[in-house]
Amino acid sequence: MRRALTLVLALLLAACGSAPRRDLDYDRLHASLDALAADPELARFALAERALAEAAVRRLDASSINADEHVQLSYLAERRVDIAYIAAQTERERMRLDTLQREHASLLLAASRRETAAMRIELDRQRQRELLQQEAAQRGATTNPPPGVAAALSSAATSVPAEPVASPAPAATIAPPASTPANPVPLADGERTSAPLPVVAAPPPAVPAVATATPAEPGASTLAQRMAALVPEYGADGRQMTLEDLVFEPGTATFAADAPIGIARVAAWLAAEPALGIRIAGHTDATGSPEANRSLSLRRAEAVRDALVERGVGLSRIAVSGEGATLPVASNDDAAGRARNRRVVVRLGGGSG
Amino acid sequence: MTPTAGKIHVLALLLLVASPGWAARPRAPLPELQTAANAVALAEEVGAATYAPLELRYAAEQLDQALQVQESGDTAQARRLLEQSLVNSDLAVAKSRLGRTREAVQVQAAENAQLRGDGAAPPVDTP
Repeated sequence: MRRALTLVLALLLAACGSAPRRDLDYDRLHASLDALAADPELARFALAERALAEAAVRRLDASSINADEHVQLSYLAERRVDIAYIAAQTERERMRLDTLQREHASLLLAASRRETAAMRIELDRQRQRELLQQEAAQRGATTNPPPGVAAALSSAATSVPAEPVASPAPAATIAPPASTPANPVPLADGERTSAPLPVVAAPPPAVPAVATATPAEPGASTLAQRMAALVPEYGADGRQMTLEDLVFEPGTATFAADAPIGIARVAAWLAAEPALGIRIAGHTDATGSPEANRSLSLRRAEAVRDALVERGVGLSRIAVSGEGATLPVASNDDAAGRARNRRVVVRLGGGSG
Repeated sequence: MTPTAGKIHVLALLLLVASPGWAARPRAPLPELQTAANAVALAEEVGAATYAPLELRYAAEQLDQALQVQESGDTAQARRLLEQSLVNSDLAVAKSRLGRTREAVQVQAAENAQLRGDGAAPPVDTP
C-alpha cells in the first residue's frame, strides 16, 4: 500500500515536472508581435525591425537561461518589440507624407493654372478697356472734331452747300446723295412716321453708279447724317451695306442713339429683295485678343440681326457671323484704318435662306 | 563643436584605454563599448534629446555604468549594460524619426489645407 502511494506521488511529481513552462513575458511579447503582424495598416512595414524583435523574443523562450538572463533578455526583447512598432508607424507616416507631398504638388499646379487664367482674363480686360478707350477717343474725334478740322469742315460747308459731308442740316432734311436712285423703297410705317428719311432702293447690278458707290466716310459728318446717306455697295461677294463702328457704343454691341436711322435704311433695302438670303458679318480691328474681338463682332452682328427682325425682316433669311479681325479692309496700323475695319456688313444673297 | 554626451563617452572610453591603471591591468576594452557609444551619439544627432529624452538618458547612463563595471572587472555585467544601452539608443532613434516624420506630416497637411482654402476662395470675377 505504501509502495503504491509512493508510486502515485512520484508519477504526480513527474507529471508536474513535465508540464509546459509558462513565461508570461514571452507570451505577452509574442502576442504583441502577432498583433503587429496582423495589423492591416502596419503589417507591411518595418519587416527588418520585426525580424530583430522576433529573434529577441525567441531568445527569451530558450529553456536554458537563468533568472538573471531572463530579466536581461526580457528587457531587450520588450524594447525590440517597441522599436518594431515605432518603425512601422514611422513608415506609415512617411507614406502619408509622400501622399501629402504629391497632393501639395497638384494643388500648386492647380493654383498656378488658376493664376494663369486670372492673368489672362485680366489681360483681356485691359485690352478690352484699351479698345474701348480708343473707340471712345475716335468717336470723340469724329463727333467733336478738333478746332482745325471743324474750321475746315465749316469752310467746306460754306463753299459747297450741296455736299452732305459738311451739311449742318438735320438728317430728316438731307438731300439724298448723288448715288441714291430715283425710286426709293418705302419705309415701314413706324419708320415713316418717326424718321421720314430718304431711302435707297436695291440698285440693279448693271447700274455702274451703284456698283461704285461707297459708304459714307466716317468723320465726314455726324453719324445721323452718315446713316441717312447709307447706300448699298458692291462688295466681293455681292451687294452689301456696311454699318460703321460708331453705330455701336464703344466696346459693346449696344446701338448708338442714331443707329436706328441706318438700320431702317438697311431694313428697307432688304425688304425690296424678300427672296434672297442675308448674311450679317461683324468685324473688328486687330486690337485686343482674337477671342474678345470675335465675341464682340458676333454680338454686334447679332444686334443688327435682331434690329432688322424687329423691322420685319424674316429671321429665317438671316445668318450671322463674327469674323473678329480676320477680314480687314484697311490697315490696322493707324486709327483711320482701324475705324474702317470695325464694321458690320449686311450682305444680300448669303444667309440661311 | 559642443561636447555632447556621445562624444564624452567616446572620449572617456579612449582615456580608459590609455590610462596607466588600465595599462597596469591589461584588459582589452569590450568591442561593444564603441558600438554603444556610437549608438548614443547617433541618437543625439537625430534629435533624441527632443523626441526621446528618457530613452537617451537611459542609454547614456547605462553606457557610463558599463564603463565603471568593466573597470571593476565584471565583464559580463558590463556586456549586459552595453546591450541595454544599445537597445535604448535604437529605441531613441526610432522615436526621434517617428516624431520628425509626424511633424513633417502636420506641416504638409497644414500647407495643403491652406492651398485648398485658397482654391475654395471665390474665383476672380469674369467680365
